[in-house]
This record gives sequence, structure tokens and C-alpha cells, in this order.
Amino acid sequence: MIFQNQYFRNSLVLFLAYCTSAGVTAQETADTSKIVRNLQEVEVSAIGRPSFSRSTAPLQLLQSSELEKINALEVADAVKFFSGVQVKDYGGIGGLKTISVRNLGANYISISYDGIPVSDYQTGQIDLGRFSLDNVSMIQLNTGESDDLFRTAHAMASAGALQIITANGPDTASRNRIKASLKTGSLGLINPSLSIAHNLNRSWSLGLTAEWLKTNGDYKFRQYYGYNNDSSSVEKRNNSDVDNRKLEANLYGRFRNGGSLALKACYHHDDRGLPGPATYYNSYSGERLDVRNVFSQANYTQSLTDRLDFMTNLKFSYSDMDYVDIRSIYPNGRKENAYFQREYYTNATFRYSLSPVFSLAWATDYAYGNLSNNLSNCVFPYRITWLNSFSAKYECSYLVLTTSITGNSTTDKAKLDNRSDTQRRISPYTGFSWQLSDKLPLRIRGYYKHTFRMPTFGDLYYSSVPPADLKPENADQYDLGLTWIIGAKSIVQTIGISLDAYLNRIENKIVALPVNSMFLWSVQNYGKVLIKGADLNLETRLVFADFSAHLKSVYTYQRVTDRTLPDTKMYNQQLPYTPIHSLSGILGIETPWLEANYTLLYCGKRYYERINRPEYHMEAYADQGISLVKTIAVGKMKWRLTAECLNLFNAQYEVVRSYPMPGRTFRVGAKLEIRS
Amino acid sequence: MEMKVNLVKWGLLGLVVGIFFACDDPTVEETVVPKTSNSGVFILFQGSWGKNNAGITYYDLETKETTFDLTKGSLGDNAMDMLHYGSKLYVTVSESSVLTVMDIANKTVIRRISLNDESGNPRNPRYLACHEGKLFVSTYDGHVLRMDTTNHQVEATVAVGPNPEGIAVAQGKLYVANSGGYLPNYHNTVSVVDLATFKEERTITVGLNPVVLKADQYGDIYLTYNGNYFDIPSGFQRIDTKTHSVYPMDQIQASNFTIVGDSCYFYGVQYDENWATACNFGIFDVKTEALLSDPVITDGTKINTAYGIGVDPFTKWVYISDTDYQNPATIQVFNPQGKKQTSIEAGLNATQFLFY
Repeated sequence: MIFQNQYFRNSLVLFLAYCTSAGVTAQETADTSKIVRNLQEVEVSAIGRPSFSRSTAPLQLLQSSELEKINALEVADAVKFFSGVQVKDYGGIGGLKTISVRNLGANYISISYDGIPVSDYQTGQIDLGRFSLDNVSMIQLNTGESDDLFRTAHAMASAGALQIITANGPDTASRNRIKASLKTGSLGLINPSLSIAHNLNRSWSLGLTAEWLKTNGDYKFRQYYGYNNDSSSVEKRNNSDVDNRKLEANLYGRFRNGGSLALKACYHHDDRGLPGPATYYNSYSGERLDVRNVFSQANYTQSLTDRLDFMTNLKFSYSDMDYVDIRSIYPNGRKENAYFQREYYTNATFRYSLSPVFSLAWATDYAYGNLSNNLSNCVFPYRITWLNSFSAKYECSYLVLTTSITGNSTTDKAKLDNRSDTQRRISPYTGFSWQLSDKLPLRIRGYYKHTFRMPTFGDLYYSSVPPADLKPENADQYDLGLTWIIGAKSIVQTIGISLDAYLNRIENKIVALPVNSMFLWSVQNYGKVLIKGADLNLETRLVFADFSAHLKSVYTYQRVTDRTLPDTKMYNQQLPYTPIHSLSGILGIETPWLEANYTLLYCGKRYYERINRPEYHMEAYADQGISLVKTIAVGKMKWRLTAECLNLFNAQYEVVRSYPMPGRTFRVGAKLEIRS
Repeated sequence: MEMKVNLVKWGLLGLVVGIFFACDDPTVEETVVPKTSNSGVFILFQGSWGKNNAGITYYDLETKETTFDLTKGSLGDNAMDMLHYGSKLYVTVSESSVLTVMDIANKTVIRRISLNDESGNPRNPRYLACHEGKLFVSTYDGHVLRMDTTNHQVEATVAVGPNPEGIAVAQGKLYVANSGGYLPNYHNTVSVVDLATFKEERTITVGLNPVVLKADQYGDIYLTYNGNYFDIPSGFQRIDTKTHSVYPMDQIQASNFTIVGDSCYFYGVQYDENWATACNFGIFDVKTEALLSDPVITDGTKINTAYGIGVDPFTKWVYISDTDYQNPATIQVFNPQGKKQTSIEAGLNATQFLFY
């Protein structure tokens, strides 16, 4: 008996294939070996929690219980614990942080917030430092493609998809829910938040969330000089304050006809200093960024017949980004740029189940986005994107086959520019997961996907010199892996392992190359990159009497080499900022009195220039953190008190050259949850 | 390291006395022993922006050995210019906003002077010139500083046009290229500063976005201007400092140049619509303004993107930096017959040469 993942159709018993903690809660009294056996047959998830072991492409999850174990305020800090992921972290709370997956940059990764894509037409990169973890219930990363056919075409068109799912969803168990939390600590951090949800009646529920994060951000760091850290001085990071305010309202409706509606409106104001590189002998910094973003989105889902499911999404987003640089090199001592972006997005997805094992889906997305600014050379560009995705899945107890093809038509025009360009591309995906023997819970999986990324408005219209003729950059992904889940009725309750080897090839890479001087950039299609890597994920849970331990660790091996021109110095050299080895881990220990967590982020040696000379190497680092958590339940009130120490051993390191990371810092927090 | 050099050549070419790469007035500190050859080449490299990896590669002309960076990675961010005066080597490091003073014989850093304005904000020093014991520094905040070469104090400041770059002394006056910095503010003047009063006495209209500016020994100033990269093209001009008239020199396609004696060695970098590069090289006589027929490269060696040019005043060997902005630069070295003699690996974006 096989059921597909269906949102809100949660009358079925929930089991998770993997020992995610939500699953574990259900498993604690159950016979684990039996669960594993059941899982081979019954793969059900009510709220879209998919299976790690059966997926045709790697799928990684962090659920709220795990997110609480890591010392993270932002989504960016959490995704560092995924394998194959690199976060370009410019340091500090609120600093710019972008994700790359298996060395496919941020422009290849679709990021969605409660199911609807977040986009940026100017840079194509979403700053993950902007997303607070405060009210997040799950972060899910699909490398390649998800086997869930009931999705947007946007997610299918990317090389990977990161889903941020908030805890704002409806809850029938309690009529009123109040969550209040306050965090404070080093760097002048104040982070209060309040969330109220109320079930208006049987159909409708309403939720409101407000959050404020403020930090002065200025931290001391040790500036090292010279190729071998020959000398050093203690300096202060200036101009890294952050003031981040967020308001969100959610309205949910569930109707007798089986339809469900989710409406969201969000306002986000983010004002921060941009500290820039820590330049030798000059600590001046005068750049600031003030971003106001409003968006509203709607999702409606309904089963039209027993076999046909329908979903539609709508979104409007507006953002105003004001950039200012105060420096005496500009006329009147300042440079001010304001950028305005608007996006209208709509989607429809149909899924048809031909039989219990075979389903088909069609997703179509249409988006219009434009950008304007106060520069004299603004041409008012706009982009129309139309995506169509056809997918098919066969799923039985031992085999999953998923295949899809996504057509992308992107038209770029500008009001004050004659150029018009339409690019049409096809992205195919095909993947399998196969259990060879029903006695052994070992599965082989693999996939192939072809994707591309369009040049952004920044690439096309905002270079300091006339733009070259740009084509989309494209990437091929190949993956072959194993997944294995061992369940035992002993202290070791479960062990889950996945091992994947992969190969990615990037062509027509879009890069900004200097022209005439280092301060003039021209964006060009230049370069080929070959990425060979392996990801190992290991997760285990041990239970002994009232004590339990949960370990989740990932290891990533990556050879990322330039393959542009064989007679150049950089040919076959490891690309900048890509460590060959990296490792991360979360260890949580629960006792009847207290919960203790330890986190590790290790990054091996890497280079910051394209040639691997010793002068340009960056040392390996290990960033370790610990936290203690005490949970107290009094009647309907649940208190959660936390004390965290980040970068416990005060490691001085940089992820990006000249952007030092903070040393040891502390945080304490209290969270209160009331349900009635 | 390749060694293709015949050492005997040195002695034969030591005819010229004087330091062409430093200054019109070489010393206040010591007597000059006439030199007949140089012992090494200082190659200033800018590094990558924001990465604190500017430095000075040193090529020893006797041992043929290369030191990748004399400052061992401590010079700072975005080095612009260097100048030899007396026993010192002065280096401007723009983003670090310092003037670095080195002992040229020991090749060691003596001190760093932060160049900030009255409110403590960085001035971002760019190019250097010297005259009668004084050092002149153009700064990107629209000024030229006069510094004393004995105590290295800023003595006087003069406001010039926006974002000044190249500066040179001719006929007792300082000429300053006012580039305007960035789109859309590119500027088109040269400021003339009287050295006696240290006041801007006039401006001369030149091509848009002037950058490299140098003087010959006959009272002429030569400059390149970059245009705006969109509809206004780049070019090369001469200013007669006696009349302050500007003469276009359209026969010279120059992006950068160096003057040694009566010869101006130049290169031009042309871009096609997709920003692929093509380079040309040439020499003209600064006395007659006539383009010479001598080619700089005769053996077909390809330079992708020339980024700096230097000529040893004794041997007349030509050093050309070839950059791709991403890798350490390759310095190709040619003899006066245009045959490649050796190549040197210097730091990222090697841009200035100094022979000592």
C-alpha cells in the first residue's frame, strides 16, 4: 500500500523513514525493526516530510528539534550543517551569507519560503542571513530534484532547492497558541519575538508574528599580516550593526470540499552597516544598506477527484534597497543608489495518479519582475519567465523512478533599451532509488540533471562598461549513491547512512572580469569547471534509560577544478574558497534534567585566488559551539531556557579573504509557549 | 627560472648617467656615483581588490632570481605607484591609504604613513612625483599632498579636480590628471599647480577620464585618457607646458607608457565588443613626436592584456606585464631587437617597474 505525500491529508499514521526527531517521538515506544520493515511499504508523510532513504537524489532535513540544538539565529547558520553545502559568510550577525550546493552557486538554488519561491532579479542571490530561524519548523535541501511531484516549476528548474517552512501552519490541537522569546548576548544582541495564533472557527485560523533583531555587531578580531601570519594586531570590525524588523500575518482556511488556503503577508525592514573587507592599515568603513521588503502570497490546494490534485500559488513582492557609501572620493562625499524591485508570480500544478504506483504532474509558473533605480543610466529592465514542468514518478516498495522535463522561456526587455532577448532552455531530470534485496535496507540511487542559470539584471544592465553578449550558464549533475538505515532494538536505536559520489560540469560560467583596471568589470561567459565530490551523511540515535544521544554528522570531499584553457596557470587548479575536505556535526545529549548540545564546523585548507600558491592559502579552521537547554513545563506553559557559547575555542578565521569571523561569543535565551 | 641572458651585455650599454625612473632632481642626501648598470628590478603589483595582497616582486639582474614579494604580503590593499628618491623607495597603497617608505638598498620597509584627512577619513593615495626634496602625492579625495622627504610629514595640501591620478613636474609646475573616478562622474581636466605657492593656478581641458600622465625633459606632458568605455573613446594627448596648448596624438594608440631619455615606449589595449583584448606596442621620439619604426616585439611573443611597461635605461630591455587579473602576472622581457629574453612571474596585477 503506497500513499503519496499529501499536504493536510494527515489522517494517516505518521512514520518517518529516517530518525528525524519528530519520527523518533513516535518511535520511542515502538519496535524499531518493525518500523523499518513498515517503512519499506508505507512511506507516508502528512505535512510533506519526505523520506531520506527512498529519494532518488540527496535530501537533507533539519527539523525544529535539530535546529534548536545548533547555535543559530539565521537559516544561513543552519544550512552549514548540510553536506555539499558551502555558505559564503562575510562574518557577523546579519552579514551577507549566500549558499552554494556542490559548488553550484546561489543562482542555481531555488529558495522557497512556505512553498513559494523567493527571488532577486538584481543579483540572483538570496541572502540567507535575512531569514531568522526563530519560527522555522523545518529546513529541507534537495540536491538535484525532489521526488515530490506536487511542486512549483521553479523548484524543478533549479539545480537544488532549499525550502524554509515556518511553524506558522495551522494546528487543530489547541485553539490559542502564544510563543514569546527573548535572546540576548555578546555584540549587543537583543532579539525578542512574539507569535500569536488563534483558531477562529473550524475552518479558519489566524497567526501573527513579530520579530526584532538588533546588534551593534562590532567585534574585535586579530588581523594577521603577511603570507605566514608574520605579525598581527588586534583590530575592531566597524560598521557591522544590524537592525532587522519583521512582521508576518498568516491566515489559513480549510474547507469542507477538501480545499485549503494559506495567505501570508510579510513586511521586513533590514538596516545594516556593510563593514567591507578588513583592509590593512585602514579600518574606515562607510557603506550601509537599508532594505524594505513587502510580500504577500497565497497558496490554494485541493483534490479535484480521487486521483487529481490541484495547487495554485500567487505572490506579489516589492523591495526597496537603499545603498549609501560615505567616502570623500565621491562628489559631495557620498554615493547613494536606490534600487526597486517588483515581482508578480503565479503557479498552477496538477498531479494525476494513474495507479497507486504511478503518477504524473504538470506545473506551470509565470513570473514578471522588474528593476528600477535612481542612476542616470537606468534602462528599466524587466523579465518575463514562463516555466513548464512535466514529471512522472513510479514508486513501489523497492523502486522509485522519477523523471521530469522543465522548459524555460525567459524574455528580457528594457523600457529604455532596444535590446530584447528571449532564451529558451530545457532542463531534464531523471533519477532512481532501488532496493536490491528486501532483506537488506540498502538502496542504490542516482540521478542526472541539466540546469542553467540566467544572467541577472546586475550582469546584464549594471556593469561599469557596455555588457558583452551573455548566454545562460549551464550545469550538468551526475550522482550515484547508497542509503542505508539500520534499526535495532538496543541502545543504538537507528543508524542512517548515505554516501554519494557526484560529478558536476559547469560551462559558459558567468563571471565578472576586470577590464582595463580592477575597478571596471565586464560580465562575460568565461570558463568551465569540473566538480568531483563525495558526500557522507551519518545519523544515529542512542537511547539508554532516560538518557538519549543524537548524532548527525556530514563529511564533504570536493575537487573543484578550472577546466577553461589548458595552457593557462589556473587550469586544473582548485577553485577559490573550496576546501577539499569539510566536516560538520551536531551532537545532542538529553537527560531528564538538562539537554546539552555540541556543534562542530571544520573546513580544510583552501585558497583565495585562482592559483594554488602557498601565498594565497587559507588555513583550516574548526568552529565549535556548545549549548545547554532546560525545559520546564508548568500547566499550559512550556519554558525553554538556553545558554550558548559560540566559537568556544575562540578560533580566528575567515571564510572569505579579508572578512574575519567573530571570536568567542555568548548568548542566553528564554522562550515561553502557551497553548490553550 | 629560465636563464637566457648574456651577462656581458651589461657593460656595453652603460652610457647614460642619471636616474630616469625616479626624478628630475635625484638627491639631497648623498652624492651620486655614476651608475653603469642596474642590479635589480622592483615590480609593484596591485593584488586583488579587498584581499590585502599587493606587494613588490624583485628580480635580481645578476643572479636571475625572483623574490615573489619583498614585503612578504604586508604591503596592503591595491598598490598604485612607486618612486625612487634618495635612498628611499616610496610606495602608495590606495585602499590601505598609506605611503610606505622603504630603504631601497636593503629592500626593507622603514615606515608606513597613514594619509587621512582632517576628520580621519582615508585619502587613498594614488600617484607620486618629486622635486627638490619634496614628494608629491595625488590622493583620490581630490588633493595633492606635499611631503618632506626627510621627516615624511605632510607640509601642505592643495585641492585639485576630482579623483586625481597621474602627476608630473615640468617647468616648476605640477600637472595633475583629474579622472573623476567612476561612471557617470568622469572628468576631463588637468590641474596646474604652481610649486612655489602650492596653489592651483589653472586647469587645462583634456580628453575624458585622464589617468597616466608623465613629463619628458623638453617641457612636454603626455597623457592617456580612458573615455567612458561607452560612447566616448580613449586617446593620447600632449600638453606643451610653455603655451598650455593640448595636441592630440592620434597616431599613438596608448593605454600606458614610459619615457626613457628621448624614447617613449607605449602599449595600447583594444577591446572588441565582447571584451576580448588585442595589444599593440610602439616607441616614439619625444623630441620630434615622430613614431619610430623599431618594433618592441619581433619574435611573435603574444601578450594578452598588457598591464604595465618598464624599460631598463642602461640595457634598454623592455619589461611588459601580462595580466589576466586572476593569476600572478607574467613579465615578458625583450631585448632592444625585440626578442624575448626571459619571463618573470610577478604578483597579481603587476603594474609598475623600477630599475635600481
